[in-house]
Amino acid sequence: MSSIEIKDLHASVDGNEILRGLTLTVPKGEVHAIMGPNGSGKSTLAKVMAGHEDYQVSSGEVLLDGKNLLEMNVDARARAGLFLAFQYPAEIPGVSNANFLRAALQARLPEGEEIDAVAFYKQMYDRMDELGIDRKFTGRSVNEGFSGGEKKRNEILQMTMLEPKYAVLDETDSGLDIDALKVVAEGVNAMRSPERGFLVITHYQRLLDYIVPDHVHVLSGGRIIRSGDKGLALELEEKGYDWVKEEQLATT
Amino acid sequence: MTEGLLEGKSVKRSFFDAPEGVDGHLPHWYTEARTAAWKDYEEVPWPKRKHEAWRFADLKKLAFDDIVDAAEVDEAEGADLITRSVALEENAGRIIFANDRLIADPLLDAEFAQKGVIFKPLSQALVEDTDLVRLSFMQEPARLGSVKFAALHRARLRDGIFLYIPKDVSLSRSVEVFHWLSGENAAIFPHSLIVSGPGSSAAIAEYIASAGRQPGFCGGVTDLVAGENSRLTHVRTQNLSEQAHSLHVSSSLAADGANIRAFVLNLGCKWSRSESIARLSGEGAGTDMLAVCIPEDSQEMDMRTLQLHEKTHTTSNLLYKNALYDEARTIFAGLIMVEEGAQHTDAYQTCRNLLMSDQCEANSMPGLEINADQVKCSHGSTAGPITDDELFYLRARGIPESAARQLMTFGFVKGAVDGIGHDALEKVVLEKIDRRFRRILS
Ligand SMILES: Nc1ncnc2c1ncn2[C@@H]1O[C@H](COP(=O)(O)OP(=O)(O)OP(=O)(O)O)[C@@H](O)[C@H]1O
Ligand SMILES: [Mg+2]
Repeated sequence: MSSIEIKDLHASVDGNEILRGLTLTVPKGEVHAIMGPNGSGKSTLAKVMAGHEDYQVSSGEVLLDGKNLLEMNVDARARAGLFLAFQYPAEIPGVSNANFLRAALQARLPEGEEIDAVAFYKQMYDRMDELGIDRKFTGRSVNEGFSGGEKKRNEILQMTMLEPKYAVLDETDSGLDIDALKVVAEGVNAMRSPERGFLVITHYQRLLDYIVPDHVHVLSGGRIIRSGDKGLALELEEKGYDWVKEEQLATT
Repeated sequence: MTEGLLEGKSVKRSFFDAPEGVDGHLPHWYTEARTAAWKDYEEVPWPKRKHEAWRFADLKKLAFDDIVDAAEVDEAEGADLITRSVALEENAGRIIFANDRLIADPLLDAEFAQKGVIFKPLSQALVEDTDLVRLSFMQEPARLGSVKFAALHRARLRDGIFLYIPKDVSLSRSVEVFHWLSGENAAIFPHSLIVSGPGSSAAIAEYIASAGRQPGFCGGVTDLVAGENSRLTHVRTQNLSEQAHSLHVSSSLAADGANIRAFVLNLGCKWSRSESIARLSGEGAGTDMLAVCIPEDSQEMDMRTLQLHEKTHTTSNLLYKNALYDEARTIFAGLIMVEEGAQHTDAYQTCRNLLMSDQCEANSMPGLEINADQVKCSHGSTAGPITDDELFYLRARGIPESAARQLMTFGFVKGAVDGIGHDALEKVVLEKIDRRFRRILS
């Protein structure tokens, strides 16, 4: 029950099936990594989980602690405890980072209850300091004119503020310099807890040196074709994806 | 009778009959021009849609046949309107009109009165400061189409304000003017003349609103005249009834090194038109022209602008933002004109329309006329809905769709409000915008 369970998920966009029977369980307290070639469906999986309307789910299930996510709308999924750090975060002109975070936290409170502004700002500044984000960013429009790395850090800031039960990080490492990578990894590691699960999508073994996963999965052609421990990531780095694909062909 | 009150009468395509004769106490130059203005009003033909200056305008909505001169409000209503005349937490002075008549004693802090600041009803200034008023009173022609209505204003004008800031005086708090329109089909013609001496600075806010929900007409004129190296900030909010009509003509004139910021918020009226002319007549002068329009239902908001660069090293920056709901329409026609010899000019013009429904309509007609060669100019207009990507991003953080839309729309228009550069005034404007969005969404 305390997990995100994806069961035989099929999803398509414009009539093209991208996810073809994907099954994966991420229990609370664990970090799972997904690796896979470009175009294999990693971001599609993330967006289908979050409820993006461009993708049609034809069959399968996604359960968050036993609750059917696919029946909920986008914002209800987030409030249920799912967080997606986008590969390409949108820019939101005119909405400041502070107002945005405040609205997101406010949306989680019961009707009639107001967020404590002083505590909110303190928490936000603390998190920003930890992530090495200049406090000036509170007044700037969300992601507008941010560098690639700044956007990724901002995603992690949102995650630390919203404290989700499950977080899907879609290539949060891409675009980060080595120092930023460490800072972001520390931010994620600080949030690791028996009460929280992570699904980390990446192309690079390097990230997994800092955020050490409990399991590594290879996504190819819209399904998980291989799972293993963190050693699998090293092997992939060495041999490339063709190696797993060939092995898979040999066994099926 | 002191004014030509012709209540109940209506004349096809003219609001009233000719204004009555001369008021004893007003200066001759003024009353003479007033009589001439009525003649002009009658002679200038009614606008036609095929005139460039009236393109896209729905002239059917510009029908004022039933309009009458506004009558004095009774004491109880006056008292009520005084209690509603609250905006800034702190001001340097305030004047309240209902139907172009004072309903409370004008206030100006003694501190500024002692420094020679004049802030008083125009009717009083015409007598007491007649030379000062005469120098700048309606000196700018209405170049953007409303010659007829500027003449009507001048002929029917009853009162307004005169603000004068002497040389090197800085008004550390803003002054405020409230104009209330009350009564079925009543017409008001508020006038503001604001003059800053060299090196001075001031900020002024004008709030034009209806007392109730009745139809009516407001034909206002605002003139800003900024002396050398002075700074003027002007905010006008229009929150007339959704049955009302409004036609406002504003001009600004900036001398050497002067800087003028003018912001307009349009919320009310079935039909409103706002013409704004910024003349940069001094070297190094600069202006910011800012506006926010939030029309809903079948409201039409028509904005015509001119950025007129006459001298070198002048800068103008126009940012208009419209958020349209339902079947609302906006029209934006903006011209940047750089005159011969106005080298090293920077002129920017941006009009953005956020389309909040499928039925709304945003028309943009940007224009450039450049007669100098060392010039930086750009203009652009955009129209589009909130994108799915933006909406998805906010919702993916748990913000419900309606709140997400509100947050983004508010953020969208806030971009123009930020340009006022005056925290207290921005706060007043944002509160009005916030109330507007709450009403639209409820
Ligand atoms: N909205 C969309 N419209 C059309 N095609 C799409 C859309 N979203 C995804 N696709 C297609 O689905 C496939 C999987 O895309 P996806 O973004 O999930 O890949 P990915 O594994 O995240 O790749 P990368 O490693 O490059 O990020 C690609 O072929 C892509 O072109
Ligand atoms: Mg991807």
